[in-house]
Amino acid sequence: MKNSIAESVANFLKDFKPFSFLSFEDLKSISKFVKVIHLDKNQKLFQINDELHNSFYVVNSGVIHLTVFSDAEETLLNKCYAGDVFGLRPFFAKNNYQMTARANEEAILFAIPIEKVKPFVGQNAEVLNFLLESFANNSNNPADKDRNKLLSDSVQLSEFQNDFSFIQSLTYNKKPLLVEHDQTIREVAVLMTDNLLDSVFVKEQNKLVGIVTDSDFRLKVATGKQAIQSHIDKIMTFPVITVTENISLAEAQLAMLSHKVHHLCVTIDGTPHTDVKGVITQNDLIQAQANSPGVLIKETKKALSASDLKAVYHSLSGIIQQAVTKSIPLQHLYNVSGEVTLAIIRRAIEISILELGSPPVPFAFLSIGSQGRKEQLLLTDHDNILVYQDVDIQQVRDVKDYFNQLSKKTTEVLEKVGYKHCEFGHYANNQKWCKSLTEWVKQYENWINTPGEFTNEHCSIFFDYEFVFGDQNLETAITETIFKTKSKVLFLDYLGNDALKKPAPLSFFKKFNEEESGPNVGKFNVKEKAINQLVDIARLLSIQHGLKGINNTYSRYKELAIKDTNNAEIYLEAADTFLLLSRYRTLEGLKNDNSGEFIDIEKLSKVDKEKLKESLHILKDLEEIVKDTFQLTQFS
Amino acid sequence: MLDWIKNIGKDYPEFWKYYLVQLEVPSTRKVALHLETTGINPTKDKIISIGAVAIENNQILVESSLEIELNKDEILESKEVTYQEVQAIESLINFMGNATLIGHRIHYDIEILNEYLSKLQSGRLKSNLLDVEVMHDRIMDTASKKYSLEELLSFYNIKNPEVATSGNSAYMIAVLFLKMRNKLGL
Repeated sequence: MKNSIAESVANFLKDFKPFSFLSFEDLKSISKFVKVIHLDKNQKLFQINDELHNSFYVVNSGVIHLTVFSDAEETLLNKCYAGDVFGLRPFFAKNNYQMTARANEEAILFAIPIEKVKPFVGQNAEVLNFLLESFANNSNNPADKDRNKLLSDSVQLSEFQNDFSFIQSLTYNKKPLLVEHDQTIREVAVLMTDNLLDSVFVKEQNKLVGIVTDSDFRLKVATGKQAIQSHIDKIMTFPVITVTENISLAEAQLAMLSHKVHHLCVTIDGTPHTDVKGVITQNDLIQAQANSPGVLIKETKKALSASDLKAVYHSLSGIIQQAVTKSIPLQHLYNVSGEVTLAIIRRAIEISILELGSPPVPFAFLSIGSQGRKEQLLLTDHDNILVYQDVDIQQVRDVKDYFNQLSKKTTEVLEKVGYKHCEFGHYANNQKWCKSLTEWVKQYENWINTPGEFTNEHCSIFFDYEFVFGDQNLETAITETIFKTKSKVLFLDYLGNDALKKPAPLSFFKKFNEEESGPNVGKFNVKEKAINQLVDIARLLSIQHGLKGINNTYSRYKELAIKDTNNAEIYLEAADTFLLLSRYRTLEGLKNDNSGEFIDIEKLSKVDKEKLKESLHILKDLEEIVKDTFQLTQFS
Repeated sequence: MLDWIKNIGKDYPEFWKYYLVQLEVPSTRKVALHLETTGINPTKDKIISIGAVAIENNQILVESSLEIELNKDEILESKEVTYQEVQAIESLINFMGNATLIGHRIHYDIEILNEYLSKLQSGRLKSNLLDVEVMHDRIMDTASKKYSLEELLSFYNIKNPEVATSGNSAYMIAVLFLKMRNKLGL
């Protein structure tokens, strides 16, 4: 008998793993036994310790949240979108469910009876592997799961690896000391002292035979067991633990722990029979674990020229690239990269000051825009302004001249590092943005009191600034100007209007609004059409709510959720959406080595597309809040 | 109205007797039904295809579905009820059993089925009925406004399957019902 329902179900399933491994005929015969379940928003499908169902689930539409309770708090493990498979526990285990599945929005699920799928799993190794892999996947690593489009059921809560240690390769001493086995202990000790090293490798006929470290001297010489005229091989430790050249931090750590040694010998192929390439000491591990961004900042502080800074910048983008793909929380990354960038800019200013001589009056260098918000991961433009203290009328010219030169030098250095000029000319190089405090205060008051007069300007980004260098009092003065101005209504309305004027991300037909012309035709401009609006609205609402000192979009939404409890849910979701979008953008940017504004929708997987679409809905809710809060008609 | 008088002493066909027996036991089973017909006049128009799918415990059972396509040309040519039609109606009645029927403007479907049934010397359908259009009317609190099936589907965000068959339509009606069910507290 014909069964078009089963066929439709099979048609849906065939696009997703693991069903894509099966033939359509097999899929159809499985689909015949599918049960379709509807869940209302917040309805639970199963919860922790429920008995196992006799089927697993595929999301047909809607979103399912998988959560666990830890410390009486519900922790979201994963979100399942259309095509995601979950509830695989009954396949492999007999104990009860270990998590709660709850519909975050109205959802339709296909329940696929395990009994009916088992025969196919047995026949098809790919399916089995896929299911096993995803079930055994205990990690909390969302990226892994994304790749599989399948969610593990056996979850152990573990802390995120918030540091970069495990992806980092080690820096170690590449010129270890080598001595012959018949040298005396005394000679070797002198050699080690001269080279400030605590270890030395012992060779015999060009073969590595042992290692001598400080502790050997303590244990075997200082105790009087060996005279200092004896041959060194009397006190050496052997065998030497050898490792390969490109060892990672984690591996090195393991090797040391499992062999209970403090030194590892690096050889070409990791065996003692090839040439010695270096030595890894415990100290190297500690230094590496002190987190490489820290090292970067240290290096930044030592940098003497733009090219040194450029090297730092390169290693930063390397770290970011690895970290993004290893799904280290983006917020953490933003902070790290923000700090390093800050250090780079600071150093750039210092280098310029070294060249020009010390400044005549206190000044403050502020970053504005994305760096001001600490949301810069990629090689994007860099906007900054310079504020200097008011001076007597006689000095004005000299002072102005000095700071113009200073900012020019600084931007030059930054440009060499790789930061592009802001397309609107918002960098201190531009005379307009290098002014005295009074002028700046006036400027801000102007923006606030008579909004709309600078319609060509992108003045809103001036409200995201971060102190970089100089006298912090000047920054405080500006902040006070902004928050002190009473009649901000007009200004806020203007900003609100500005925020809503952004082009909509989705068209009427729920399609992505892609570029219609230009070099990026057919791509989706995620910065212009989504991120900018999220940023604008966050800024607007935080000025409205008087949030001081929080310049970061993510934290702004988090903070807004606390201040404005009515819309807390929307804000929290907006915060997540912001991170999600930024992640897509960063990945795209790293892939193409640009600012990642344009996402090629065609190249996204179906699930990513859905996710992206899903998340863009939040913009509508935010717009509603803005429309309700401000009077927008004055400017439209 | 006075059907029962006509029916006294009448000898029903087996499938109908079985249907009547089943009806005496109440059931929570539901059947979403979609008939494709040549029109809405029960006396003149014919059924072209039948799609039905069962809902038990608020789950749509794809396993338990019925899909019959009739040979259109043969039906339209013949003046009498053809054998394939008799078989189709019989298997539908058997499939329905004591379930509550769900459909879109289901009274049309029932009328036309009744017409067939009377030709088969059987009584009128006595199953409980639910109409998704009426249900939606209740939810929206609109007074008997007309909603086409397409409107309802797009309102509840249900994607149209690529192939439009009675089976798929019945499935979509079932999904509609599931989505509406909680709103009405059924």
